[in-house]
Amino acid sequence: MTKPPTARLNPFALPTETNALFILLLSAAVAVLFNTGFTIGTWYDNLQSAGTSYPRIETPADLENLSYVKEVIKGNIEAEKSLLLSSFYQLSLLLLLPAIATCLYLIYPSLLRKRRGLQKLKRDRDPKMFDEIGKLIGLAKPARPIGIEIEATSDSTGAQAFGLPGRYSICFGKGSRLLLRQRRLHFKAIALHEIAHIANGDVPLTYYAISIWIALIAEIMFISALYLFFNFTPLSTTVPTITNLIDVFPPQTIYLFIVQFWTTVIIISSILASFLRTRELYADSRAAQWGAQTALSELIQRNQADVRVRLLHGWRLHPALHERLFSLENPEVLFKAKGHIAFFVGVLLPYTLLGGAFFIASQLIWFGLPMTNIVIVGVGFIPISETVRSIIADVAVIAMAAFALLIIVVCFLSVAYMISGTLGVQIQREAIADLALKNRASGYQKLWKHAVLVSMGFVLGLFTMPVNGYQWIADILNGNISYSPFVTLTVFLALFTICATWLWLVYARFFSRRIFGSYIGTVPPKIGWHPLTLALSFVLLFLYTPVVHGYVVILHVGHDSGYYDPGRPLSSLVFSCLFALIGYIFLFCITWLLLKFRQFFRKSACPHCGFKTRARNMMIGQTCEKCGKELGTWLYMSKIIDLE
Amino acid sequence: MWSNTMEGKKLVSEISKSVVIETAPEELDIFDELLDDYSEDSNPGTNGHVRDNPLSSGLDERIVAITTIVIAMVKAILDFLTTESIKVVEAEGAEIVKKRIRDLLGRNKKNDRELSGEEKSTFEKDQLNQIKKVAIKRAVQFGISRDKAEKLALAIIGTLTLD
Repeated sequence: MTKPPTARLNPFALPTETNALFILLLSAAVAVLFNTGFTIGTWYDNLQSAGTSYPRIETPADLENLSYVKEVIKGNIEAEKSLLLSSFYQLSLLLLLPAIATCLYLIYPSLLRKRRGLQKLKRDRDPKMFDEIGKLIGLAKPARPIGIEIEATSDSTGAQAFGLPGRYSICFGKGSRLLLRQRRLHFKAIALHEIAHIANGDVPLTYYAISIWIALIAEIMFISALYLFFNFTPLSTTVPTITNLIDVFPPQTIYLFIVQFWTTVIIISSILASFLRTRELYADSRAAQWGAQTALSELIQRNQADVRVRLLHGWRLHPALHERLFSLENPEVLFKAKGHIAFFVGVLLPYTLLGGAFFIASQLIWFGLPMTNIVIVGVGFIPISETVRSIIADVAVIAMAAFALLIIVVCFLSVAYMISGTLGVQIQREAIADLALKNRASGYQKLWKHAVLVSMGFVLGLFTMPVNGYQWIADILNGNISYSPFVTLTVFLALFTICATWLWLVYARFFSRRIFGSYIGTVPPKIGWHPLTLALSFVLLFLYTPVVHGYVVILHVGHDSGYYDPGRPLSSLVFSCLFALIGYIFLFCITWLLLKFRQFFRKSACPHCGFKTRARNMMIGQTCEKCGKELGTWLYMSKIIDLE
Repeated sequence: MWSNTMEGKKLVSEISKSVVIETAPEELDIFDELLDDYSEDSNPGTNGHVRDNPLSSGLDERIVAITTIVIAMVKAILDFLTTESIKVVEAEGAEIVKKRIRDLLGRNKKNDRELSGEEKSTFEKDQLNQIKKVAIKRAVQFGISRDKAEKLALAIIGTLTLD
């Protein structure tokens, strides 16, 4: 085995950070609307039925009283109606989001053309430019032709890729025609950067992300307006007014809700800005792969000298110029797992895992319970034998339990998969790059930083999530209930999240090195990362069990208006922590055994000459003994094109 | 100003093109479009304005065509000469002014001069210095360096005097 040749790592070998941020943005939008819809639904429901309690079957004697049983069934139907109403708000808001976003996404190319006065560039108008761009587009080998358009008014040298899938265009400022004539290589670099956006597939993601963001802001504005309208306009007695709203919710809760709302908007906007910045770095990288590195570096340096442009970029929807320059010269930085992804995942944890999955699961279970009650009670009126009646009742209970379990697994697993597909994949990328670059120092220790960031985000998310266990914070501020149980439980959750996340990241790094490290070939593993991401999701489910449990305890403490027996919930939490730890060790061992088993039967052959190599593990960064070529070619860039 | 008339515009175009052939031949194929653009908007403040667009490459620049600057300089020179000539021959009428300017810029045919028995008017050193100043002042308004503006001014003067 010889040392590998010095080569540039290919940032597109594994799913990129841009994709991760897009998934986070989408998840955040859905989770926020779900939480918001629930809040609105709960408010309305609480206002309409404040103080209403439905009768329940308490003793077998209750079943003898026919009119009481009818009351129980009626009450259960009312409860179902109330839950349906609450779900209606959530579903309406959720469905409205893709509806508005898709409309915006579909009309934006026409809007852009109209606003900028774009004109299609035909060959007879500027053959030099037309032919030059045509040649550059050829490098991307697009499935369908890419249009070229020119702005009618702007003298900018900038360009912008846009359009719907299959109908992409690049619009150039009029200044580009001059740039082509004055500094041809710089023109090529800008054109290649835009073509790279199309090749990277981030054009639809970008415009859809922006559409989602606009739709979300529009919905939140609408909800806020509706909220103010309902609460500050004494329309009629049937519509809730500020007076009866305050009877149900103290003003502090309302103010807190507004703060939570807008903090959430800021967080989502930060994810969007981060997404927009990141895609530029990947487009630069692709353009560099096509030979534009020097020209791009020169352009960046020219802009750095221009203070005016630098100031314009201060609001950071583009990456900082020094950051772009550094990533062009060192493409391996694109493999580094970024702290902001860990933080965003942390913030979204309460929204998705607790506010989303937990609430969906509990809502559906609460929806199923009255249904089961109706079946059990209703079956008493059917003239059948006692045995059959008992079987039907048992089946209803078992069906309810199975339904609840299914809902819990589906809801929580989808959230866990989202986290594994974002932060988990970033850790996988970093692990592979470290392997290729022989960076062995402090690989597992640096995961603590990500774990702490996830935990910090998690605590922030707990406070900013519109519906959460901390909605009693207003009561705490008023001194109505004690703050100590909330502080104790928050500290516990924060510390536990750090440890659980670190263990999870260790799993991700350890097995990425072994799975991808042993992968050899010329093309990147197409589906190779899916099984690992799925395994990571299950591990996460086990590890975060105490987090959900802790949240349930917080909800109970809140509902009990501060009643808190320190011994009872903490002892149960210790039990769930032990369960999580044992589950983690079990899954770790199982995965390790499966890998060993797979390795035992797998033959490793050089993808270039077919020679059987001795090494069975960590092939990345190694060359074949016979032909001397890189074994893990998939991780490196192919030959860089000469732009001249 | 006379430079805004059809005849004046034609003269500006002729002289500018001669200068652009020497100084920025790569822009020659888009000369006519740049001339039209300049006719529509001659303000250097709005020309080349860069709008910060978060969805572009982020490397947008303000770029000015040498052609545009040359056109602006030639037009400034022409306006200056018109003003100066009017001062000198205020009483002689517009036709004489135009003829004098064309003569100064070397645009009257040699034969015409010989037929009328007139001698070719030439710039005096002082006049040339003033023209250079006017041209540089206009060029600098487009954001180019003084050195570059001076070089362009000399190229224009060269074109005017060597005909």
